[in-house]
Amino acid sequence: MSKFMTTFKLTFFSKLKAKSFLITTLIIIAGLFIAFNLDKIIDLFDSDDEALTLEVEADESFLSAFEPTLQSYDDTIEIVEENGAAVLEVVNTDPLEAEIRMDEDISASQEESIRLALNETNRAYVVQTLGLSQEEIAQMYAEVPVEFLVAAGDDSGDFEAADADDMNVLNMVIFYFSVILMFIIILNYASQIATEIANEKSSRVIEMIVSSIRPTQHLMAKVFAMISVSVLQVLLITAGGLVAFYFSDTSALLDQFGLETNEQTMKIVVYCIIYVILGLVLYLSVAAMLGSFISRMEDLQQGLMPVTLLSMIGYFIALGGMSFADHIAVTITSFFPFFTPFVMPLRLLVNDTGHAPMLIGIAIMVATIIITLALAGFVYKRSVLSTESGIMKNIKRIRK
Amino acid sequence: MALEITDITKVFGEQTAVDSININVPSGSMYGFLGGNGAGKTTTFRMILKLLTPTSGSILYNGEAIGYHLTDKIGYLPEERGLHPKLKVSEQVLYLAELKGMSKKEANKSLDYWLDRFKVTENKHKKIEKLSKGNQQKIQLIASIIHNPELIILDEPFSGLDPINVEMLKDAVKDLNSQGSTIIFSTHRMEHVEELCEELCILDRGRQIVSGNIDQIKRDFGQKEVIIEGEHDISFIKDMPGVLDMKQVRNKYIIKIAEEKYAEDIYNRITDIGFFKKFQVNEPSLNDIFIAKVGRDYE
Repeated sequence: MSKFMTTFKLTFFSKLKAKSFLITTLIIIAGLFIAFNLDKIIDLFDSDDEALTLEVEADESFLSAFEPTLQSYDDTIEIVEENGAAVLEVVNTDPLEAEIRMDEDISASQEESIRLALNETNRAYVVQTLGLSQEEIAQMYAEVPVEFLVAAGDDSGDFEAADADDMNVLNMVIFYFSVILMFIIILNYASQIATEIANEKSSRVIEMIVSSIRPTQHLMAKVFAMISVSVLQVLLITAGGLVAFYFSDTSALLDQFGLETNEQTMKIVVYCIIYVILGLVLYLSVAAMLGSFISRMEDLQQGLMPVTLLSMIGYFIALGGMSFADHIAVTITSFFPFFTPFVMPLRLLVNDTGHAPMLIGIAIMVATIIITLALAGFVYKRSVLSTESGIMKNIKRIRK
Repeated sequence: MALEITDITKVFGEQTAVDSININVPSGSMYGFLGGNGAGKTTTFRMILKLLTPTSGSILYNGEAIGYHLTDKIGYLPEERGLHPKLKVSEQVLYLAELKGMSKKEANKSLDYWLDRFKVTENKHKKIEKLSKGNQQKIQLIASIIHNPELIILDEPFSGLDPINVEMLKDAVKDLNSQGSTIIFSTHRMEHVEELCEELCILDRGRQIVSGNIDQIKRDFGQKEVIIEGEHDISFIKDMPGVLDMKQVRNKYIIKIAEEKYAEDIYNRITDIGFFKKFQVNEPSLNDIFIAKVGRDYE
């Protein structure tokens, strides 16, 4: 155990002191600070929303209807009597037609606001022309009540109200954050762990090391050290994110996106954390196994191809699967261990899948991790002193 | 016996790397493994250290099978040199020392001693990749002996070093041996074995040509070399009984005889002729033994 800890400590602290660790952690935390202050940053740089002075050439009755409507859409546009940056001329009132002349191009959002205000004014004009009563107007603008019903699952022929499909935005943010973070860390650390193992083999220091510590013990110490570093990084980023959240005035941002917790949030947080950690452990174990096959640094990228490919597929299913999360193909892929950490949280988010499939997913991943680590140990032990060039030669050697 | 190797064989696919080797290394001795490339030296060492499993045969250290419970007592310098290039010298050596069960404090003290002895103190906090090849080799040797092991296995410890450093390392190895460590080292240089070892094993293409105490091997070999220097013609000697070969280089004669007793006959014959500047009976060289056993020159 003490030898395990010796290798563990060396790997853990040398990775912790590495520039790449500090830089990626700081960049992601800085990214979170930026994200939480995005509205302020946009305000700072957004020249599109500069105040616009608009001169209106129309009669008083149009102006009295148009001005408050326009103000309700966009308060950056100010109506002036003369010397406006843009001039709106009503060319025809029945039907309403207008022309806008401007010195410089105005922003798309201001254009849209003027268009909407004109439409609204036109509708008011038409309503007025038709001589409708207040009730008739209210009736015209009233929303049509629609009830969506789905067949009840009990074969009774009854229908029941369908679930509202409006997904909780906060839960979506947690899901996307965890999936993206997991993907970035997998790619980063898979390459690091394979490099670490292959480097040690190619520098031949390994022969001295394995004459002191069992190869499997050495490999496991390295793998667990790397996993610990990656988990520590996840925790640091999360903590950094919380600090960023705490120190940023996020109420406007939260209101804008409607970030509120619901009864599913806690479940999503817990399962996302579990799956991120299991995903990291699984992919890093596979990378360690693949690194064991490699004796030359030139073969590294080729050797890591399976990790890159599998994690990428899982990542894209998770990112793009929101609209077809209840499809049977997604359900099946969620039980394939390399996709489980990406797809299970997606199913939970979209379908509010119960605890049973989630726990089965965890069990599948734990079993796969154990098998992968055992296999990695086996491969490592048999290939540790191999200097065969090429991965296939190493595989042949291991099979002997 | 410290190390007993009985009938070990290692086969890789179609190739027999080591073929039925039997060796006994006495405790506290300096044992040399002599052989060219592909002789089986490194494979034998790896089997001793359990890095490779023998196809057949057994290896016992102080009567018990070698395993990871014994590795703290063994120091190993592999033939293929290499350390973690990004680590500092102190980090690298302390890590390997801790793997051998030393405490950091002990290891640090011992490291200072060895760095000073090998005159590389200034490199303690330098990264390995910044060191010259020779200095990296010294650091690797320090890493393999820092824990003061009972059994030290050095695979080609002197290769690639300049003569001054070879002498420095030889002195260190001799000191370790005089302090009680059993040392096994391999080399392809016969003179290193002749200078340092009491015991040796000569390997050729996986086969054990000869092994045991060097003096005994030479005695048992029988053949001797007689050197005679003088002005007189002594070409008649080549027809005398027991003379195997005779070479003349100007007024110096090198005569190979089957046994030491024939030297006396030669001596008696030439002293009748007149004065000779030199008459010397030499033990056979290891190269002579190698040629006689294998049928070709060593290198």
